Amino acid sequence: MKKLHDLIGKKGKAFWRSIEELAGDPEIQDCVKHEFPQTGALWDIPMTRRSFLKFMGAQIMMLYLAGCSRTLPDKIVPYVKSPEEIIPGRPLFFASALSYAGFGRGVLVESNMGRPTKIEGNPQHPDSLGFTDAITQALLYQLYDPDRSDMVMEKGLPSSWEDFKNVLQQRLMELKKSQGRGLRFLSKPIISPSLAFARQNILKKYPLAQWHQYSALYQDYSRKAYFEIFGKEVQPIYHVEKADRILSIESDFLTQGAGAIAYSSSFANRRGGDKKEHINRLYALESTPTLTGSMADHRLVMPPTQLGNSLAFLCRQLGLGHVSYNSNLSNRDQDQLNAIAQDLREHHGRSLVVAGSQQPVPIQMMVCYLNDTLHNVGNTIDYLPVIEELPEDMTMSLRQLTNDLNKGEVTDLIVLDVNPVYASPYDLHFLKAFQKADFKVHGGLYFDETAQVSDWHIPMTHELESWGDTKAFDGTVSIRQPLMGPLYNGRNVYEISSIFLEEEYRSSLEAVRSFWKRRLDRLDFDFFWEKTVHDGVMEGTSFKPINHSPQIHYVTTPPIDNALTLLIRPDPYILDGEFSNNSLLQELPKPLTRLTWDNAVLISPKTAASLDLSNGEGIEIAYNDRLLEAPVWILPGQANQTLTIHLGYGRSQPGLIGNKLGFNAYELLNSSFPYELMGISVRKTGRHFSLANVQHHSMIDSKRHPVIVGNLSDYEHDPAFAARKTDSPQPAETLYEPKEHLHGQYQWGMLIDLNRCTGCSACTMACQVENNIPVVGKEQVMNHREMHWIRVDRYYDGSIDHPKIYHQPIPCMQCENAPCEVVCPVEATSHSEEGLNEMTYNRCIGTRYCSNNCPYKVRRFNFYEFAKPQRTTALHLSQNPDVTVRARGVMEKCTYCVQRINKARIDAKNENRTIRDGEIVPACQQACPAGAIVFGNITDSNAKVSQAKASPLNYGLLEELGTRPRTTYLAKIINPNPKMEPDHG
Amino acid sequence: MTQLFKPKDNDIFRAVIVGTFVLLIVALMYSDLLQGSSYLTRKGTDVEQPIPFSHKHHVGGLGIDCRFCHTSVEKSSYAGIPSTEICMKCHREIWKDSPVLEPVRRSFRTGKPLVWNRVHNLPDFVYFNHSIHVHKGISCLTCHGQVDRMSLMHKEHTLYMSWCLNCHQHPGNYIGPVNKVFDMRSKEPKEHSQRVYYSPYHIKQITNCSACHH
Repeated sequence: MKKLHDLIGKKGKAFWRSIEELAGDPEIQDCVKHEFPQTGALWDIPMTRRSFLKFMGAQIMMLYLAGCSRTLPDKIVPYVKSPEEIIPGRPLFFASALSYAGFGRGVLVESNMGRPTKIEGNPQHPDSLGFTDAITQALLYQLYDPDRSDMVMEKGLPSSWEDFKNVLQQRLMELKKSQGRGLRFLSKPIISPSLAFARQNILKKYPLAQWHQYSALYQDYSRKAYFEIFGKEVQPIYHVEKADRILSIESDFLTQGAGAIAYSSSFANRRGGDKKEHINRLYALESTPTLTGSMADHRLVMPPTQLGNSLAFLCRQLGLGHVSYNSNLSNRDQDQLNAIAQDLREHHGRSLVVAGSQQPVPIQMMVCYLNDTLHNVGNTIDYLPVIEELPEDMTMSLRQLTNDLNKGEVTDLIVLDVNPVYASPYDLHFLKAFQKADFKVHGGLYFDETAQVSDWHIPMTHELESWGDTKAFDGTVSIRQPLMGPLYNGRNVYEISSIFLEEEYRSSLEAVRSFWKRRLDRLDFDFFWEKTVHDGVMEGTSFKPINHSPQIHYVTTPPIDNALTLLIRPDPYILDGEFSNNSLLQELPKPLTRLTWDNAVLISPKTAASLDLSNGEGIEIAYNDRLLEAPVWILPGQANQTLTIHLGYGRSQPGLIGNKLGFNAYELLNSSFPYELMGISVRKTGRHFSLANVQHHSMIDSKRHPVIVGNLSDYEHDPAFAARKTDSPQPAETLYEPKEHLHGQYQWGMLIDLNRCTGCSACTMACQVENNIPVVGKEQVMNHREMHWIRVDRYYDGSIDHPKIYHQPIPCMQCENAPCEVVCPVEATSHSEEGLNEMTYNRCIGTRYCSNNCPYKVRRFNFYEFAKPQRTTALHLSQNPDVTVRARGVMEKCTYCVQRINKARIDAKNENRTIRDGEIVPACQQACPAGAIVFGNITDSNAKVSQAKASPLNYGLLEELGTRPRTTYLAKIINPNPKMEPDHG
Repeated sequence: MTQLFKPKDNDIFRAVIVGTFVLLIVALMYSDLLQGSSYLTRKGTDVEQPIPFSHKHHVGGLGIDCRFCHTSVEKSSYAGIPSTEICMKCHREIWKDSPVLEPVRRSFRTGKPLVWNRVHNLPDFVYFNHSIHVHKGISCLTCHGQVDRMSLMHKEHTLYMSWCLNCHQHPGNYIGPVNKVFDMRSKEPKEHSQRVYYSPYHIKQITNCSACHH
C-alpha cells in the first residue's frame, strides 16, 4: 500500500470505497475478484485423504438412510375458546409506542397468533408517519433476548418476588417514620405522564426522599442555551419541508434523535424525484462526519474550535453584534462563509439553522440567535415546551446523588432501568459512591453492571410487555399497548411503585387507565380511551408553540486551538450501551465507517499519517491522568486534529452478545465537558486490533460510476445526462429475442431514489427482521459472511481529506437476464413469469456458482447453521411464519418480499380484482423514512414505480453487462451554491 | 503354478456383472416404490386420535358443513382446527354424558386445549393457502377425498410435489363450480373437467417456484 502521506491532498479515482482502494492495494483487488478472498485458508481440520474419503462414504450412506426415515406425526393444538378477532394465518396489527433515547415513537406491531413478529411505523403518529428507523426495527430482538434477566436476585443469588417485597416493606416501615430520609430513586428522564404521577405520589408519601434522573444521551447543552435565552425550558421543532436553505452544525437531525423520521421524510420530499423546482440546499459545518452531513451540498470540515469561530463569523455577517469571535479565519474560509451568509439572508424566513445536541452552549446560543435574526421562528422552527415531565440538568442530578452518597446521606437507593455503574462519567466515581448505600435495588431488563453490585435485582418488563404511556417530540401522547404478557417473569414500574405507595396493585392497564381517567376527566372517557389505544395517538395533546422573544446575551467563542481534541458521541445504533446485547444492531454496519461489532477511534487521514497509524492499530489516549487504549479507524471527512469515539462498548456484563466488544469510552467521559476533551495526547501502542469492517465486502467491479451524480445546473441544461453517463446498451440492442417467458400479468420492479437515501440502514434492518435473516457474529463477518439481503454501500468521491460521500442501497436487482440462473446445476434459482428471480431453498445444494456469477454480489450463503440460536431459544417466536428458515448450505437473497406479493395476489384473486398499486410494500420500502424505495408493477403506466422510472435520471447499475436489472436508481442531483467553490478540490 | 481361474469362471463373472445391474435396478425400483408407499407417506392410513372423532358421522350422517368447524378456510391459508368451544356448541346438549366425549368436556372445564394428531402435514418450506383454492373451485374432495365416508381421518393423497403439480399443470381437470366446493355429494369434478371454468375463474397454470416456496 502506498504510504498514507502520498495520498493526502490528492484527488484519486472517482468513487472509491476505502483508503486502501484509493491507494490501489492489491489485497483490495483480491476482494473485488473473489467474493471470499480468504476462504482457502479456513479449512483448518487436519485430515488425511483416506479419512476424508471414509467420511464421505459414510456420509453418503447416512444420507441414504436418512431418506428412508418415516417422520413422526405432528400435533395440532387448537384453541379452547378462539379469540374473536384472530384468524389463524392472518396477522393482527396493534398500535403501541416505544421510547428510547428520551422520546416516544408510535408503532404498529404485527402479531401472529399472539407472537409479535415485526414492528412497523404508525402513520398517524407524528414521530413515525408510518416509518421506522433501524433501532425501532431491532427492538423486537430485545423483547425476546434470551439473555434478559428472568429472576429476582439477592446479592447475586436467586430469590423470589415475595421475599423482595417483604424485605422492601420492612425497609419502608422505617423510612416512613423518617419521612423518607435517605431514600433515593434514579431513573431515566421521565417522559411518561403516568410514571411522573407515580413519582409525585411516592414523593408525597416520603417527603424527604428524592428522585434523580440520568441518561448519557441527555441534551443538557441545548436545554441550557435555550433556558438562558428564553428563561424557560424549551426545545426546538423544525419544519424542514418549509426550509429552502438549511445550515447544519454537526447535527444528524435526519437520522438521529427525536423527530428524525419526520425530518428525513420532509427533507426527502424536497430532494426526491426529477422535479427540482423546490430543491432545497443543505450546508453542513462538521468536525466529525454525520449522515446528515453526507447529504449536504456543501460540507465544510473543521476542528471544533474553528467550527465555533466560523459560526461566530457567520453571525457577525448576518448582523449579530453581540457575538464575538477571536480568531482569524483564512480568506478561503471567509469567502465560503460569506457566501453561506448571503444565501441564508436571501432566504430569510425560509432558512433553518440546526445544531447537534452535543454542540457546546455558545454554539447552541448562536444557532438560536441566527434563527431569530433570519425570521425563521414561526416559519421553519418553533419552540415547544420540553417533553420531559420534570426537566432538569441530568449531569447535575447524578452529581448531586453521588455527592450525597459519598456523604452517607443515602441509605436506600432504587435504580430503575438505568445502568449508572457502567454509563456515567468517570470523574463522579459512581461505583465507589454507590457501594456506600445500605440497601441498593436495581430493576432492569438485564442483570447488568449495576445489578451486579446491587443488593437486589428485579427483572423488569419490556415495553411491549406492559401498559404505559409516552410522548412524541411534539408532545403527542401515545398509550403503550402490550403485545404479550411478561416473557421473562418481569415486573413493571407501576407494580414496583405500588409497593412504595402501599397500594394494592391491580394491573399496569388499571394504573395507566385510571391515571388518564382522572387527568382527562371526560364524560366520554371510555370511548376516548378506546380510540386513543386503537389509533396510537391521543388527540389534541401536541404542544402549542411558545412565543417568547429571546434575551440578548453576549456570546464569545474560544479561540482556535490546534490541540488534539477528542469528541465523545453516543454510538449510532448501540446508543449509550442500552442495546449492547442486541445482535441485530451490533452486526448492522455503522454509518460511514461500515464497522460492525466494535467501536474505534475515528481519525482523519492527515492526522493518522502524522502519527504513522493505519486501520486497527492501537493508540493510547491520555487526558490528565486518564488512559484509554483503543484501535483507530481512519475516516475520510473527519477534521484534522480531531478524534471521535463512541460510547456503548467495553461492557463487562451485557450478556452473551455484547461481551468483550470494543472499548469503554466512559473512561474518558468527563462530567464537566462530556462531549469534547481538549488537549489530549496520543501514543501509538503497537498493538493491532482486528476489526470487522464490511467496506471491502461484496465489492462491485464496475468500470463505470456506480453512483451517478450531477449538479442542478448540469441537469437543467441536459436532463438526460444520467443515461449518457451509464453508456448502456438500449433495450432494443440485443441479439436475442426479448424474454418471451415474461408474460405475467404483473411485472415487478423497484426504484431507489439516491436523492432521498440518507444511508440510515433502516431498510437493512427491516429486511433482516421480515425475512428471518440470521446474525453471523464478528468472526464470520470478518470472513465476508454477513447475511444482509439489502446492504447500503458507501462511496467516496474526491480527495482523501474532504471527499463527497454517497450512499447506495443494493438489494437483488432481479435481473431479467439473470447471470445466477444459468449457472445453477439444480435449477434452484429460476425466473418467474412476473420477472422475479426466485430462490428455492429446498432445491439448493450449495454449489455457490450463482453467487460467484452475480455481478452485484447480493447473494448470501449459510456457511453454518446460523439460524440455530433462534430455533433453540425464545427467539424462534420472533420469526416471520411466512418465510422459510434456511438451513446450512443454502443460498439466499432478496426476493422483493415475495411472501407479501403472494399474499396480496391471493387476496386480490379472492376478491376478484387486480392488485392495486401500492398494495404490495416490501419491508425495506415500508421502513424507509425518506421514501427512497418504490416498488410496483412496471407494466402499469399509472403505477408510482413506472412514473418514477420514466424519469430521465433513471439508470441501472452495471446495465452495460446486459443483465436488464429490474431494480434501478435515480441519479443524484446536488444543488451547490454557484458562488462557492465545489466541496472537493 | 496352477491357473487361478478356470474357463467356467467366465460365466460366473458374467452372471455377477449382469446380476449387479439387475440388483441395482431392482433396488432403485424398490426405493421408488418405497417413496410412494403408504408406509412412508401414510397415505390411506387412519390416524389414531385422542377422541375417535368421525367425519363420517358428522359430515356424511348429519350433513354438517365443513366451514362450521373449519372456520377460516375461506379467509386464510389455514382451514382452522375447531376450538373446544365449537365442539361444545352441540355437545353441551347432545351426548352430554358420553364417556367418549369426556376429554372435550375436560378441556372446556379446565381451559387446557385438546391435542390432536396431525393428518396432513406439509414441510416447513411449503406455503399452501386454503382460501385461494376454495375460491377457485377446488373442492375439499379433490385433496382430502371422501371425508364423509371416513370414520377416522386419513390422508387421501401423498401430498408430494408431483401430486400438487398434477393439478397446477392441468387445473382444468380438477376445477369445479365454486358453489359446490363444500358439497360432499357433488360428483367428482374430473367428470366434467375441461376448461369451462378457465375464463370465469381467471384460472392460470401457476408453476413458478415462489408460488409455494418462499
